[in-house]
Amino acid sequence: MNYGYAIGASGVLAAMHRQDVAANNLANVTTTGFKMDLGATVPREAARVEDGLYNLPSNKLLERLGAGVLLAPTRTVFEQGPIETTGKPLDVAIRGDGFLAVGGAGVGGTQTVRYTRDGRMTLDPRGTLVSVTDGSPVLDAQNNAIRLDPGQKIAIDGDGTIRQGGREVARLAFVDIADRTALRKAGANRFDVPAAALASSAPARGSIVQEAIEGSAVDPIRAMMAVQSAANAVSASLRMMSMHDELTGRAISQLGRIS
Amino acid sequence: MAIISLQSAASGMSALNTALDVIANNLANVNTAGFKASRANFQDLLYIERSQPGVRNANDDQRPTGLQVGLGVKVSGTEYDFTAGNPIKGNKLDIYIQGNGFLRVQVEDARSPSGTAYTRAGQLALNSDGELVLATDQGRRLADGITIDGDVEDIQIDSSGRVLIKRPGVAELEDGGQLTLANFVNPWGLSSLGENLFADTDASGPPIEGEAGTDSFGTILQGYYESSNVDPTTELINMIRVQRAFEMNSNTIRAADEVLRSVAQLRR
Repeated sequence: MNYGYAIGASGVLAAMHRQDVAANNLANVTTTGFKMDLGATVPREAARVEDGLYNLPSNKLLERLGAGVLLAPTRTVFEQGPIETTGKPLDVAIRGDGFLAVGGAGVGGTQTVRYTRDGRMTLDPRGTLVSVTDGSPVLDAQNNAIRLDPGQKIAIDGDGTIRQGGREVARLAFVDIADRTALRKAGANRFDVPAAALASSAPARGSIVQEAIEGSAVDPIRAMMAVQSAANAVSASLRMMSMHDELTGRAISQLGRIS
Repeated sequence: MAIISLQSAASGMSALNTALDVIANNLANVNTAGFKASRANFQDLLYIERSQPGVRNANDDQRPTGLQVGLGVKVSGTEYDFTAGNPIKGNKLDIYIQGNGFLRVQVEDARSPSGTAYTRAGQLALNSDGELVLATDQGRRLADGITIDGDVEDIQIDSSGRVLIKRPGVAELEDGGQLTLANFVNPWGLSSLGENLFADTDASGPPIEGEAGTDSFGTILQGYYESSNVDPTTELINMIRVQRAFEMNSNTIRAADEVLRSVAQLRR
Protein backbone atom coordinates (compact mmCIF):
# COMPACT_ATOMS: atom_id res chain seq x y z
CA MET A 1 0.00 0.00 0.00
CA ASN A 2 1.06 3.58 -0.55
CA TYR A 3 3.27 4.68 2.40
CA GLY A 4 2.26 8.34 2.01
CA TYR A 5 -1.30 7.67 3.20
CA ALA A 6 -0.09 6.85 6.68
CA ILE A 7 2.27 9.82 6.80
CA GLY A 8 -0.53 12.13 5.66
CA ALA A 9 -2.92 10.68 8.24
CA SER A 10 -0.39 11.15 11.05
CA GLY A 11 -0.04 14.78 9.92
CA VAL A 12 -3.83 15.28 10.09
CA LEU A 13 -4.12 13.73 13.56
CA ALA A 14 -1.16 15.68 14.96
CA ALA A 15 -2.44 18.98 13.56
CA MET A 16 -5.91 18.34 15.00
CA HIS A 17 -4.30 17.71 18.38
CA ARG A 18 -2.40 20.99 18.12
CA GLN A 19 -5.67 22.72 17.30
CA ASP A 20 -7.42 21.20 20.33
CA VAL A 21 -4.67 22.45 22.63
CA ALA A 22 -4.72 25.91 21.07
CA ALA A 23 -8.54 26.05 21.26
CA ASN A 24 -8.34 25.34 24.99
CA ASN A 25 -5.77 28.15 25.38
CA LEU A 26 -8.08 30.56 23.59
CA ALA A 27 -11.10 29.47 25.62
CA ASN A 28 -9.07 30.31 28.75
CA VAL A 29 -7.87 33.69 27.56
CA THR A 30 -9.61 35.35 30.54
CA THR A 31 -9.12 32.58 33.16
CA THR A 32 -7.27 33.74 36.27
CA GLY A 33 -3.86 32.12 36.78
CA PHE A 34 -4.16 30.06 33.59
CA LYS A 35 -0.93 28.96 31.91
CA MET A 36 -0.72 28.29 28.21
CA ASP A 37 -0.16 24.76 26.87
CA LEU A 38 1.94 23.90 23.86
CA GLY A 39 0.75 21.00 21.74
CA ALA A 40 4.17 19.66 20.75
CA THR A 41 4.93 17.10 18.07
CA VAL A 42 8.03 15.01 17.33
CA PRO A 43 9.12 13.35 14.08
CA ARG A 44 8.50 9.64 14.02
CA GLU A 45 11.31 7.36 12.90
CA ALA A 46 10.80 4.65 10.30
CA ALA A 47 9.55 1.38 11.76
CA ARG A 48 12.91 -0.38 11.62
CA VAL A 49 14.68 2.40 13.52
CA GLU A 50 11.81 2.95 15.97
CA ASP A 51 11.66 -0.70 16.92
CA GLY A 52 15.43 -1.13 16.97
CA LEU A 53 15.39 -3.95 14.39
CA TYR A 54 18.66 -2.88 12.80
CA ASN A 55 19.56 -6.29 11.40
CA LEU A 56 16.42 -6.52 9.29
CA PRO A 57 16.78 -5.65 5.62
CA SER A 58 15.13 -2.38 4.69
CA ASN A 59 14.74 0.18 1.96
CA LYS A 60 17.22 3.00 2.65
CA LEU A 61 15.18 5.58 0.77
CA LEU A 62 12.05 4.70 2.68
CA GLU A 63 13.93 4.93 5.95
CA ARG A 64 15.15 8.41 5.16
CA LEU A 65 11.54 9.47 4.69
CA GLY A 66 10.74 8.86 8.32
CA ALA A 67 7.26 7.80 9.34
CA GLY A 68 5.35 11.00 9.81
CA VAL A 69 4.73 12.73 13.09
CA LEU A 70 3.92 11.78 16.69
CA LEU A 71 2.37 13.74 19.50
CA ALA A 72 4.79 14.82 22.22
CA PRO A 73 3.78 15.44 25.83
CA THR A 74 1.93 18.71 26.27
CA ARG A 75 4.20 21.37 27.68
CA THR A 76 2.87 24.11 29.93
CA VAL A 77 4.54 27.50 29.58
CA PHE A 78 4.98 29.06 33.03
CA GLU A 79 5.15 32.64 31.84
CA GLN A 80 4.04 35.37 34.21
CA GLY A 81 0.49 36.58 33.54
CA PRO A 82 -0.46 40.24 33.90
CA ILE A 83 -1.10 41.42 37.49
CA GLU A 84 -4.53 43.07 37.62
CA THR A 85 -5.56 45.01 40.71
CA THR A 86 -9.04 44.19 41.97
CA GLY A 87 -9.14 45.94 45.36
CA LYS A 88 -10.54 42.82 47.07
CA PRO A 89 -8.60 42.01 50.25
CA LEU A 90 -8.84 38.26 49.65
CA ASP A 91 -7.47 38.33 46.12
CA VAL A 92 -3.77 37.63 45.80
CA ALA A 93 -1.53 37.47 42.76
CA ILE A 94 1.91 35.88 42.59
CA ARG A 95 4.68 37.92 41.04
CA GLY A 96 7.54 35.64 40.02
CA ASP A 97 7.89 31.95 40.85
CA GLY A 98 5.64 30.16 43.31
CA PHE A 99 2.37 28.36 43.89
CA LEU A 100 -0.33 28.40 46.54
CA ALA A 101 -1.54 25.09 47.97
CA VAL A 102 -5.22 24.08 47.90
CA GLY A 103 -6.72 21.02 49.56
CA GLY A 104 -9.22 18.85 47.76
CA ALA A 105 -10.66 15.42 47.29
CA GLY A 106 -8.28 12.94 45.74
CA VAL A 107 -8.71 9.43 44.38
CA GLY A 108 -10.82 7.09 46.52
CA GLY A 109 -11.96 9.55 49.19
CA THR A 110 -8.43 10.61 50.14
CA GLN A 111 -7.36 14.19 50.63
CA THR A 112 -4.85 15.64 48.26
CA VAL A 113 -2.99 18.91 47.87
CA ARG A 114 -2.99 20.70 44.56
CA TYR A 115 -1.06 23.77 43.54
CA THR A 116 -2.37 26.90 41.87
CA ARG A 117 -1.52 30.43 40.85
CA ASP A 118 -5.15 31.48 41.07
CA GLY A 119 -5.27 33.50 44.29
CA ARG A 120 -8.98 34.38 44.42
CA MET A 121 -10.06 33.44 47.92
CA THR A 122 -13.04 33.97 50.16
CA LEU A 123 -14.21 32.90 53.62
CA ASP A 124 -16.75 30.16 54.19
CA PRO A 125 -19.46 30.40 56.93
CA ARG A 126 -17.00 29.07 59.54
CA GLY A 127 -14.33 31.60 58.61
CA THR A 128 -12.13 29.14 56.74
CA LEU A 129 -10.07 30.58 53.91
CA VAL A 130 -11.25 28.87 50.71
CA SER A 131 -10.77 29.14 46.96
CA VAL A 132 -13.63 30.89 45.15
CA THR A 133 -13.77 28.34 42.36
CA ASP A 134 -15.13 25.41 44.39
CA GLY A 135 -14.66 26.20 48.07
CA SER A 136 -11.61 23.99 48.61
CA PRO A 137 -9.54 25.18 51.58
CA VAL A 138 -6.42 27.24 50.89
CA LEU A 139 -3.64 25.73 53.01
CA ASP A 140 -0.93 27.09 55.25
CA ALA A 141 2.73 26.08 55.24
CA GLN A 142 1.90 22.94 57.27
CA ASN A 143 -0.89 22.00 54.83
CA ASN A 144 -3.64 22.83 57.34
CA ALA A 145 -6.73 24.89 56.58
CA ILE A 146 -6.59 28.54 57.66
CA ARG A 147 -9.24 30.02 59.98
CA LEU A 148 -9.59 33.81 60.03
CA ASP A 149 -11.64 36.33 62.00
CA PRO A 150 -14.05 37.79 59.45
CA GLY A 151 -14.63 40.94 61.47
CA GLN A 152 -11.07 42.15 61.24
CA LYS A 153 -9.07 43.58 58.37
CA ILE A 154 -6.94 40.99 56.60
CA ALA A 155 -3.46 41.96 55.46
CA ILE A 156 -1.32 39.56 53.44
CA ASP A 157 2.42 40.21 53.15
CA GLY A 158 4.69 39.47 50.22
CA ASP A 159 5.78 36.14 51.74
CA GLY A 160 2.22 34.99 52.41
CA THR A 161 2.02 35.96 56.09
CA ILE A 162 -1.58 36.83 57.00
CA ARG A 163 -1.98 39.55 59.63
CA GLN A 164 -5.10 40.60 61.48
CA GLY A 165 -5.02 43.51 63.87
CA GLY A 166 -1.24 43.70 63.53
CA ARG A 167 -0.77 40.09 64.68
CA GLU A 168 0.47 37.25 62.50
CA VAL A 169 -2.38 34.72 62.40
CA ALA A 170 -1.34 32.34 59.63
CA ARG A 171 0.98 31.92 56.73
CA LEU A 172 -0.04 30.77 53.27
CA ALA A 173 1.86 27.83 51.80
CA PHE A 174 3.97 29.46 49.13
CA VAL A 175 6.23 27.00 47.40
CA ASP A 176 8.03 26.55 44.15
CA ILE A 177 8.36 23.21 42.42
CA ALA A 178 11.68 22.88 40.63
CA ASP A 179 10.59 20.20 38.18
CA ARG A 180 7.94 22.13 36.28
CA THR A 181 7.56 19.39 33.66
CA ALA A 182 6.04 17.10 36.32
CA LEU A 183 3.11 19.47 36.96
CA ARG A 184 -0.13 18.21 35.45
CA LYS A 185 -3.24 20.28 35.00
CA ALA A 186 -6.17 19.10 37.10
CA GLY A 187 -8.83 21.63 36.08
CA ALA A 188 -10.14 24.47 38.31
CA ASN A 189 -6.88 26.35 37.59
CA ARG A 190 -4.89 23.79 39.61
CA PHE A 191 -1.97 21.46 39.09
CA ASP A 192 -1.40 17.95 40.36
CA VAL A 193 2.14 17.40 41.55
CA PRO A 194 3.44 13.82 41.85
CA ALA A 195 5.17 13.00 45.14
CA ALA A 196 8.55 12.66 43.44
CA ALA A 197 8.39 16.20 42.12
CA LEU A 198 7.08 17.52 45.42
CA ALA A 199 10.39 16.48 46.96
CA SER A 200 12.03 19.15 44.83
CA SER A 201 9.78 21.88 46.24
CA ALA A 202 11.41 24.86 47.89
CA PRO A 203 10.22 28.15 49.38
CA ALA A 204 9.05 30.34 46.51
CA ARG A 205 11.25 33.17 45.34
CA GLY A 206 8.37 35.25 44.01
CA SER A 207 6.23 37.59 46.07
CA ILE A 208 2.53 37.75 46.88
CA VAL A 209 0.61 40.86 45.93
CA GLN A 210 -2.62 41.47 47.83
CA GLU A 211 -5.77 42.93 46.23
CA ALA A 212 -4.72 41.74 42.78
CA ILE A 213 -5.05 38.67 40.61
CA GLU A 214 -2.82 37.20 37.95
CA GLY A 215 -4.59 37.25 34.62
CA SER A 216 -4.38 34.48 32.04
CA ALA A 217 -0.88 34.15 30.58
CA VAL A 218 -2.28 33.17 27.18
CA ASP A 219 -1.00 35.31 24.36
CA PRO A 220 -4.21 35.59 22.30
CA ILE A 221 -2.39 36.34 19.04
CA ARG A 222 -0.13 33.30 19.33
CA ALA A 223 -3.08 31.12 20.32
CA MET A 224 -5.17 32.32 17.37
CA MET A 225 -2.32 31.76 14.95
CA ALA A 226 -1.86 28.25 16.35
CA VAL A 227 -5.55 27.47 15.78
CA GLN A 228 -5.42 28.77 12.21
CA SER A 229 -2.06 27.22 11.29
CA ALA A 230 -3.24 23.86 12.61
CA ALA A 231 -6.32 24.14 10.37
CA ASN A 232 -4.05 24.88 7.40
CA ALA A 233 -1.79 21.95 8.29
CA VAL A 234 -4.82 19.66 8.33
CA SER A 235 -5.84 20.81 4.83
CA ALA A 236 -2.29 20.37 3.55
CA SER A 237 -1.98 16.84 4.91
CA LEU A 238 -5.41 15.95 3.61
CA ARG A 239 -4.41 17.27 0.20
CA MET A 240 -1.39 14.96 0.29
CA MET A 241 -3.68 12.07 1.10
CA SER A 242 -5.99 12.79 -1.83
CA MET A 243 -2.96 13.10 -4.12
CA HIS A 244 -1.88 9.64 -3.07
CA ASP A 245 -5.44 8.51 -3.67
CA GLU A 246 -5.26 9.97 -7.18
CA LEU A 247 -1.91 8.25 -7.82
CA THR A 248 -3.26 4.91 -6.67
CA GLY A 249 -6.29 5.42 -8.88
CA ARG A 250 -4.12 6.16 -11.86
CA ALA A 251 -1.94 3.15 -11.14
CA ILE A 252 -4.98 0.95 -11.12
CA SER A 253 -6.62 2.39 -14.24
CA GLN A 254 -3.55 3.04 -16.43
CA LEU A 255 -0.66 0.81 -15.30
CA GLY A 256 -2.90 -2.13 -14.89
CA ARG A 257 -4.61 -1.76 -18.27
CA ILE A 258 -3.96 -4.75 -20.51
CA SER A 259 -4.79 -3.59 -23.99
CA MET B 1 -10.55 15.44 17.35
CA ALA B 2 -11.55 18.72 15.88
CA ILE B 3 -14.76 18.14 17.81
CA ILE B 4 -12.82 18.95 21.01
CA SER B 5 -11.69 22.32 19.68
CA LEU B 6 -15.29 23.03 18.71
CA GLN B 7 -16.42 22.24 22.24
CA SER B 8 -13.60 24.22 23.87
CA ALA B 9 -14.48 27.24 21.77
CA ALA B 10 -18.19 26.82 22.52
CA SER B 11 -17.47 26.60 26.25
CA GLY B 12 -15.38 29.75 25.93
CA MET B 13 -18.15 31.60 24.13
CA SER B 14 -20.81 30.60 26.62
CA ALA B 15 -18.62 31.51 29.63
CA LEU B 16 -17.65 34.84 28.09
CA ASN B 17 -21.30 35.47 27.33
CA THR B 18 -22.08 35.05 31.05
CA ALA B 19 -19.23 37.43 31.88
CA LEU B 20 -20.71 39.97 29.46
CA ASP B 21 -24.12 39.61 31.15
CA VAL B 22 -22.52 40.32 34.53
CA ILE B 23 -20.71 43.39 33.17
CA ALA B 24 -23.89 44.67 31.51
CA ASN B 25 -25.76 44.39 34.81
CA ASN B 26 -22.95 46.20 36.64
CA LEU B 27 -23.01 49.02 34.10
CA ALA B 28 -26.80 49.26 34.21
CA ASN B 29 -26.54 49.79 37.98
CA VAL B 30 -23.82 52.40 37.88
CA ASN B 31 -26.18 54.88 39.60
CA THR B 32 -28.05 52.48 41.90
CA ALA B 33 -27.59 53.38 45.57
CA GLY B 34 -25.90 50.65 47.60
CA PHE B 35 -25.32 48.47 44.53
CA LYS B 36 -22.42 46.02 44.69
CA ALA B 37 -20.60 45.05 41.51
CA SER B 38 -20.14 41.37 40.67
CA ARG B 39 -17.53 39.61 38.67
CA ALA B 40 -17.70 36.27 36.88
CA ASN B 41 -14.99 33.86 38.03
CA PHE B 42 -13.52 31.57 35.40
CA GLN B 43 -11.85 28.19 35.79
CA ASP B 44 -10.48 25.71 33.29
CA LEU B 45 -12.36 22.45 32.77
CA LEU B 46 -10.95 18.96 33.19
CA TYR B 47 -8.18 17.64 31.00
CA ILE B 48 -8.22 14.44 29.02
CA GLU B 49 -5.13 12.32 28.73
CA ARG B 50 -4.23 11.42 25.20
CA SER B 51 -1.47 8.92 25.73
CA GLN B 52 0.42 7.24 22.99
CA PRO B 53 3.00 4.54 23.74
CA GLY B 54 6.59 5.40 22.99
CA VAL B 55 6.10 9.13 23.19
CA ARG B 56 9.38 10.88 23.79
CA ASN B 57 10.02 14.19 25.43
CA ALA B 58 12.71 16.65 24.43
CA ASN B 59 15.32 14.77 26.50
CA ASP B 60 14.54 11.68 24.47
CA ASP B 61 13.33 9.63 27.39
CA GLN B 62 9.99 7.98 27.19
CA ARG B 63 6.92 8.87 29.16
CA PRO B 64 4.00 6.52 29.42
CA THR B 65 1.54 9.41 29.68
CA GLY B 66 1.69 13.17 29.77
CA LEU B 67 -0.34 14.21 26.79
CA GLN B 68 -3.05 16.44 28.13
CA VAL B 69 -5.73 18.26 26.22
CA GLY B 70 -7.99 20.72 27.99
CA LEU B 71 -11.71 20.77 27.39
CA GLY B 72 -12.35 24.48 27.71
CA VAL B 73 -13.55 26.84 30.40
CA LYS B 74 -16.53 27.46 32.65
CA VAL B 75 -17.83 30.14 34.95
CA SER B 76 -17.35 28.81 38.47
CA GLY B 77 -19.57 31.48 39.96
CA THR B 78 -20.09 35.17 40.39
CA GLU B 79 -18.64 37.04 43.30
CA TYR B 80 -19.73 40.35 44.83
CA ASP B 81 -17.33 43.13 45.46
CA PHE B 82 -18.28 44.50 48.89
CA THR B 83 -15.97 47.49 48.86
CA ALA B 84 -17.92 50.54 49.97
CA GLY B 85 -19.36 53.08 47.57
CA ASN B 86 -18.84 56.78 48.14
CA PRO B 87 -21.05 58.81 50.47
CA ILE B 88 -23.33 61.06 48.44
CA LYS B 89 -25.20 64.01 49.92
CA GLY B 90 -28.84 63.05 50.12
CA ASN B 91 -32.00 63.69 52.10
CA LYS B 92 -32.35 64.18 55.83
CA LEU B 93 -33.27 60.53 56.38
CA ASP B 94 -30.54 59.01 54.22
CA ILE B 95 -27.87 57.08 56.08
CA TYR B 96 -24.44 55.90 55.03
CA ILE B 97 -22.65 53.08 56.85
CA GLN B 98 -18.97 53.94 57.23
CA GLY B 99 -17.47 50.47 57.46
CA ASN B 100 -18.99 47.01 57.74
CA GLY B 101 -22.66 46.29 58.23
CA PHE B 102 -26.02 45.99 56.55
CA LEU B 103 -29.39 47.49 57.45
CA ARG B 104 -32.02 44.88 58.27
CA VAL B 105 -35.24 44.99 56.25
CA GLN B 106 -38.49 43.01 56.60
CA VAL B 107 -39.42 40.93 53.55
CA GLU B 108 -41.93 38.17 52.84
CA ASP B 109 -40.82 34.72 54.00
CA ALA B 110 -41.04 33.53 50.39
CA ARG B 111 -38.19 35.83 49.41
CA SER B 112 -35.92 35.13 52.35
CA PRO B 113 -36.61 32.21 54.74
CA SER B 114 -35.56 34.26 57.75
CA GLY B 115 -38.05 37.01 56.86
CA THR B 116 -35.20 39.50 56.86
CA ALA B 117 -33.18 40.93 54.01
CA TYR B 118 -30.08 43.11 54.18
CA THR B 119 -29.11 46.24 52.33
CA ARG B 120 -26.51 48.99 52.23
CA ALA B 121 -28.82 51.35 50.34
CA GLY B 122 -29.69 53.62 53.25
CA GLN B 123 -32.25 55.79 51.51
CA LEU B 124 -34.94 55.88 54.18
CA ALA B 125 -38.35 57.54 54.42
CA LEU B 126 -41.43 57.51 56.66
CA ASN B 127 -44.62 55.88 55.44
CA SER B 128 -48.14 57.09 56.24
CA ASP B 129 -48.07 55.19 59.57
CA GLY B 130 -44.83 56.90 60.57
CA GLU B 131 -42.78 53.74 60.18
CA LEU B 132 -39.18 53.98 59.04
CA VAL B 133 -39.07 52.32 55.58
CA LEU B 134 -36.80 52.05 52.56
CA ALA B 135 -37.58 54.75 50.02
CA THR B 136 -38.21 52.23 47.25
CA ASP B 137 -41.49 51.52 45.47
CA GLN B 138 -42.10 48.56 47.81
CA GLY B 139 -41.60 50.75 50.89
CA ARG B 140 -40.22 47.86 52.95
CA ARG B 141 -40.09 48.38 56.73
CA LEU B 142 -36.80 48.25 58.59
CA ALA B 143 -36.70 45.19 60.84
CA ASP B 144 -36.00 47.39 63.87
CA GLY B 145 -39.66 48.48 63.84
CA ILE B 146 -39.04 52.14 64.46
CA THR B 147 -42.19 54.30 64.35
CA ILE B 148 -42.12 58.04 64.55
CA ASP B 149 -45.54 59.57 65.12
CA GLY B 150 -47.01 62.78 66.38
CA ASP B 151 -45.70 66.25 65.86
CA VAL B 152 -42.06 66.05 64.79
CA GLU B 153 -39.75 68.97 64.14
CA ASP B 154 -36.58 67.06 63.32
CA ILE B 155 -35.27 63.49 63.26
CA GLN B 156 -31.64 62.76 63.99
CA ILE B 157 -29.78 59.49 63.64
CA ASP B 158 -26.49 59.47 65.53
CA SER B 159 -23.32 57.57 64.61
CA SER B 160 -24.32 54.55 66.71
CA GLY B 161 -27.68 54.27 64.93
CA ARG B 162 -29.85 55.72 67.71
CA VAL B 163 -32.88 57.57 66.34
CA LEU B 164 -33.59 60.83 68.20
CA ILE B 165 -36.76 62.87 67.74
CA LYS B 166 -36.99 66.62 68.28
CA ARG B 167 -40.50 67.65 69.29
CA PRO B 168 -41.56 71.27 68.80
CA GLY B 169 -41.13 73.33 71.93
CA VAL B 170 -39.25 70.56 73.77
CA ALA B 171 -35.53 71.13 74.30
CA GLU B 172 -34.59 67.52 75.00
CA LEU B 173 -34.46 64.94 72.24
CA GLU B 174 -36.80 61.99 72.55
CA ASP B 175 -35.42 58.44 72.06
CA GLY B 176 -37.05 56.94 68.94
CA GLY B 177 -35.34 53.55 68.90
CA GLN B 178 -32.13 51.90 67.83
CA LEU B 179 -31.07 50.78 64.33
CA THR B 180 -29.34 47.41 64.49
CA LEU B 181 -26.83 46.43 61.85
CA ALA B 182 -26.04 42.93 60.65
CA ASN B 183 -22.78 41.48 59.45
CA PHE B 184 -21.78 38.16 57.92
CA VAL B 185 -18.82 35.85 58.20
CA ASN B 186 -18.91 35.43 54.46
CA PRO B 187 -20.79 38.34 52.86
CA TRP B 188 -19.70 36.99 49.44
CA GLY B 189 -22.12 34.13 50.04
CA LEU B 190 -25.19 36.41 50.24
CA SER B 191 -27.74 36.03 47.49
CA SER B 192 -29.15 39.02 45.69
CA LEU B 193 -32.93 39.57 45.85
CA GLY B 194 -33.14 42.66 43.66
CA GLU B 195 -34.37 46.01 45.08
CA ASN B 196 -30.80 46.45 46.45
CA LEU B 197 -31.55 43.66 48.96
CA PHE B 198 -29.50 40.62 49.90
CA ALA B 199 -30.68 37.47 51.66
CA ASP B 200 -28.59 35.31 53.99
CA THR B 201 -27.80 31.78 52.82
CA ASP B 202 -26.01 28.74 54.20
CA ALA B 203 -22.89 30.03 52.47
CA SER B 204 -23.03 33.47 54.08
CA GLY B 205 -23.69 32.10 57.55
CA PRO B 206 -26.27 33.54 59.95
CA PRO B 207 -26.30 37.30 60.54
CA ILE B 208 -24.23 38.70 63.40
CA GLU B 209 -26.20 41.61 64.81
CA GLY B 210 -24.93 44.61 66.66
CA GLU B 211 -25.01 48.36 67.11
CA ALA B 212 -23.12 50.66 64.78
CA GLY B 213 -19.71 51.58 66.10
CA THR B 214 -19.31 48.44 68.23
CA ASP B 215 -17.09 45.46 67.43
CA SER B 216 -16.51 45.27 63.68
CA PHE B 217 -19.52 47.39 62.75
CA GLY B 218 -19.10 50.71 60.99
CA THR B 219 -20.61 53.97 62.13
CA ILE B 220 -23.61 55.76 60.66
CA LEU B 221 -23.48 59.06 58.84
CA GLN B 222 -26.81 60.82 58.47
CA GLY B 223 -27.73 62.87 55.40
CA TYR B 224 -25.66 60.77 52.99
CA TYR B 225 -26.34 57.59 51.07
CA GLU B 226 -23.96 55.08 49.51
CA SER B 227 -23.28 55.28 45.79
CA SER B 228 -22.94 52.22 43.57
CA ASN B 229 -19.41 50.80 43.79
CA VAL B 230 -19.32 50.04 40.06
CA ASP B 231 -16.31 51.62 38.40
CA PRO B 232 -17.48 52.33 34.84
CA THR B 233 -13.92 52.51 33.45
CA THR B 234 -12.99 49.06 34.75
CA GLU B 235 -16.27 47.63 33.53
CA LEU B 236 -15.82 49.08 30.04
CA ILE B 237 -12.26 47.76 29.81
CA ASN B 238 -13.48 44.33 30.92
CA MET B 239 -16.25 44.54 28.36
CA ILE B 240 -13.78 45.17 25.54
CA ARG B 241 -11.60 42.33 26.75
CA VAL B 242 -14.50 39.89 27.03
CA GLN B 243 -15.92 40.86 23.66
CA ARG B 244 -12.61 40.38 21.87
CA ALA B 245 -12.04 37.03 23.60
CA PHE B 246 -15.53 36.04 22.46
CA GLU B 247 -14.67 36.93 18.86
CA MET B 248 -11.44 34.93 19.03
CA ASN B 249 -13.33 31.87 20.22
CA SER B 250 -15.78 32.24 17.36
CA ASN B 251 -12.73 32.20 15.05
CA THR B 252 -11.68 28.90 16.61
CA ILE B 253 -15.06 27.50 15.68
CA ARG B 254 -14.55 28.65 12.11
CA ALA B 255 -11.08 27.04 11.96
CA ALA B 256 -12.33 23.77 13.47
CA ASP B 257 -15.20 23.80 11.01
CA GLU B 258 -12.72 24.24 8.17
CA VAL B 259 -10.84 21.17 9.41
CA LEU B 260 -13.96 19.05 9.60
CA ARG B 261 -15.04 20.15 6.15
CA SER B 262 -11.64 19.23 4.68
CA VAL B 263 -11.84 15.84 6.35
CA ALA B 264 -15.34 15.31 4.99
CA GLN B 265 -14.14 16.16 1.50
CA LEU B 266 -11.20 13.74 1.62
CA ARG B 267 -13.06 11.16 -0.41
CA ARG B 268 -15.15 12.77 -3.08
